[in-house]
Amino acid sequence: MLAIDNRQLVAISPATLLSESIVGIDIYASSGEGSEPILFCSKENPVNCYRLKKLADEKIFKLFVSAQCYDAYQSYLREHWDQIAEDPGVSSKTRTSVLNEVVRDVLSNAFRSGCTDKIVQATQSLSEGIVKILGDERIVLSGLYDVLHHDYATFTHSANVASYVVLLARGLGFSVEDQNQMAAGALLHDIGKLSIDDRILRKPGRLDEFEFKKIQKHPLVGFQALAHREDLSYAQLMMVYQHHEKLDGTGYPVGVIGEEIHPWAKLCAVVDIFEAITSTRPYRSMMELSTALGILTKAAGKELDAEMVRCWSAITQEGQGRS
Amino acid sequence: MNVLESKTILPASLAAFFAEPGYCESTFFESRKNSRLRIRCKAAISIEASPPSIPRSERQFIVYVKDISKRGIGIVSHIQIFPAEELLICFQHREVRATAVRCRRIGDFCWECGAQITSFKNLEEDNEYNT
Repeated sequence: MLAIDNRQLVAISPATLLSESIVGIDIYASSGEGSEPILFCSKENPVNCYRLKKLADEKIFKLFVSAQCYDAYQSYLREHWDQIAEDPGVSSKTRTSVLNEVVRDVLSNAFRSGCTDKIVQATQSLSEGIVKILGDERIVLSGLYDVLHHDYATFTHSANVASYVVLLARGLGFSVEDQNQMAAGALLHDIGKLSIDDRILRKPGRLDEFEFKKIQKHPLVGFQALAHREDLSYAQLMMVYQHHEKLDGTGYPVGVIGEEIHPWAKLCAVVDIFEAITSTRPYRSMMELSTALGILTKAAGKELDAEMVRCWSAITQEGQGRS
Repeated sequence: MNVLESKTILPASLAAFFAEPGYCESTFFESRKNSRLRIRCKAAISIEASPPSIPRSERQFIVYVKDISKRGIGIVSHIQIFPAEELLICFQHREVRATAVRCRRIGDFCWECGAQITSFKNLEEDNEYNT
């Protein structure tokens, strides 16, 4: 763990910094493992565009801020995210990076509050931003994948799934309005996990029967938490309730089959599995994209919608080598 | 009540269960707070309220009742019932109000639903008991 003056440092992506903007906190760089962090940009100075470019040239993808200043960094992102989303001069990588940081930040705060109203409000405001930024045809999955976090926090997973849902929905030709609603549904799809003890979610070993049953209840718990709301559609609720259902009826919590599963839930299921297996989990390391696609392809037609898997496969390969 | 037609298609195991008349002992190994009484009968059900975005065209139909306890009731219906839907289950001499808590697909036109009882009403005595 990097530290300076006994203060723990947290990694941030240089892509989230707008050149010539003042972040208002000290930002550090490190040339490699074991090396002392050095000041990259002090809190009173604007971020220098030449120094940012140099980082990119040297393939340094991490900068650091003190953990105590992380809230200030998140405020900087929230303040600038509209500007970044609408600025045609900002690279798509910066946009997706900022998007991801803001979504994770807002969602983690909302999830931590445990208040369903706050969570739903947050997802509705975030979904528009996600669609606006990911609506850019130049954004491809490999570029997006590089800037996403791949840890096992529920808010990270939900944020990633929402981005993937929009890419897949765009690929399948869904309207922008549908993509907006789907993004909000995807941000909410695992809300039921908030009621599961962290010791179960983060257990490194095999789950026992009781723990597994508890995990399997999360779509039902999520549905029950949201069912009475008038600001969510049937399709969004089904993303929450049915995202672990499988075409052959072997899914949970209901065991519905084929056409009984809502198309938006089928779509969510494809990217939910993809995100889960390409992220680091307490019980295993992340899989290579090709291995993940192999698993999806094997399940296509039996458990997952074949057309959606084909489309996701094409989206994944489309970006290879040009992020 | 038992002569009424249900649209539910029972798989062989459930058909055999409902073919026998009357009550049935619950299994020894059940780990429930309130033990279930296995009953085999039909009842008229009315879905009185559904979550706002759940489309519901059919609200009154006949279901099989599988078991009942102080707090819960298990029914088998021909359509999926969603959690949080409010049910009125009418027996010959009794009405039970309950809220669906889970539903599992058993087969085509066969869904098993568990609901939490919110009140009983004995129609002969006209007494209502809240659980």
